[in-house]
Amino acid sequence: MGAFAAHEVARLFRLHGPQVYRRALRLLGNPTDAEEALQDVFLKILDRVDDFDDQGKTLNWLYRITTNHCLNVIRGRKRRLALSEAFRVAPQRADHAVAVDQSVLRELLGRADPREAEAAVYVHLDGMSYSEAAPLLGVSKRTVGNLIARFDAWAAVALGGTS
Amino acid sequence: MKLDFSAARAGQAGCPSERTLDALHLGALPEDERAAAAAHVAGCGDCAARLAEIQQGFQAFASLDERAVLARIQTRHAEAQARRPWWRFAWLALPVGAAAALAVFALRPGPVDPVEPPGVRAKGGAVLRVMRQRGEAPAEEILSGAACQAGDRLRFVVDLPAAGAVRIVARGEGDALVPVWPAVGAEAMGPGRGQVVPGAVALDDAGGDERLFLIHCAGAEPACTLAGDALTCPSGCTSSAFVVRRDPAP
Repeated sequence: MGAFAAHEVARLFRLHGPQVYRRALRLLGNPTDAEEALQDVFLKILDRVDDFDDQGKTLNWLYRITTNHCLNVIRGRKRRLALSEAFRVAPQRADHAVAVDQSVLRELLGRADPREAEAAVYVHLDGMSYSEAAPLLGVSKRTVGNLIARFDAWAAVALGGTS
Repeated sequence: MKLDFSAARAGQAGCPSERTLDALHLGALPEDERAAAAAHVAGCGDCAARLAEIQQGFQAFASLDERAVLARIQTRHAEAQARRPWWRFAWLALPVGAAAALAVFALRPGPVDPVEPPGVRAKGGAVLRVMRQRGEAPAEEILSGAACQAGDRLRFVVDLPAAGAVRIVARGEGDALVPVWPAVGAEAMGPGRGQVVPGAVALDDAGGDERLFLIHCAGAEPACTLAGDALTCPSGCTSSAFVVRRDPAP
């Protein structure tokens, strides 16, 4: 997309901006980073707005572009900052369930395999079924299950347990 | 060790995902899924609150100044466009004969102007004239150096002393010449005054002035070079400069 009139940018911003911001806030956990992500993602949207077609596909595209941008931000934090050890838990028995909240999940997402991390966002954070996540990831429902299984096993080890 | 992610996820187990509620809000769900999601929301206070927040748009985030964010996005977008000079103009319409172009851009250069045209020209050379349309107001011819605003539509009219190859270009970064019309190469045109160039351009909000040049070459390739404000063209070519000044919108 070439030069965009200011009023058209404003229209797209009001239409799609809230979805992007809500999602960035949820993934990044603080308003400052979410606002920065909103700007960055929206500039990508303006560059590729010709790809928009129907609302359903547009929504999936927005989810993907925002998710991957925020995952990159989270990974960048990991590189900049010393890794927090606070989220580790004491070793647990194999049958013991450990609750993972959003802050712990963010730590995990920054360190996980990128493909598995994206699947974990859709399933564990957004609450999507494997069927709903499959078209966003461009894989089958079964492959979504495999990605989640690998993420969960890796996360259990990362949190101090054993797989 | 087992992990329980229920504390991280949106809604409770069995509740619609964030994406489903977003799609419900946008009207992007197939009918069966829409009906199921709507029925769930009707009976689930938690999901009704989630959907209500989505429906509020930016109003749900008291700490976010959406106007300030939009202004920063527009600034960054304009800066990015300025770094890609061939995108500084959006070519809006195709040949004048296209019905859609006529319907949208009812710019009328009018009859051939008996008054000396306002563009800067050498005697006997080609002249670039610019028509401006702002909003729904009638198109008007402007002088070089006239103030324009983002969103103004500009249309070009040329006076040519002889048949030849014609290009309209703009000064880009580093004295580069950026095609304005045609997109590639040059167009063969006959002699005459008041010839309307097909299509129109919308002025974006990139900031700064736009310096345009009409290049007309009889029997030569219109391959000119720019150094500062000085355009150097092969023998047999003439040129006409026109400055469009950008003013901030009121």
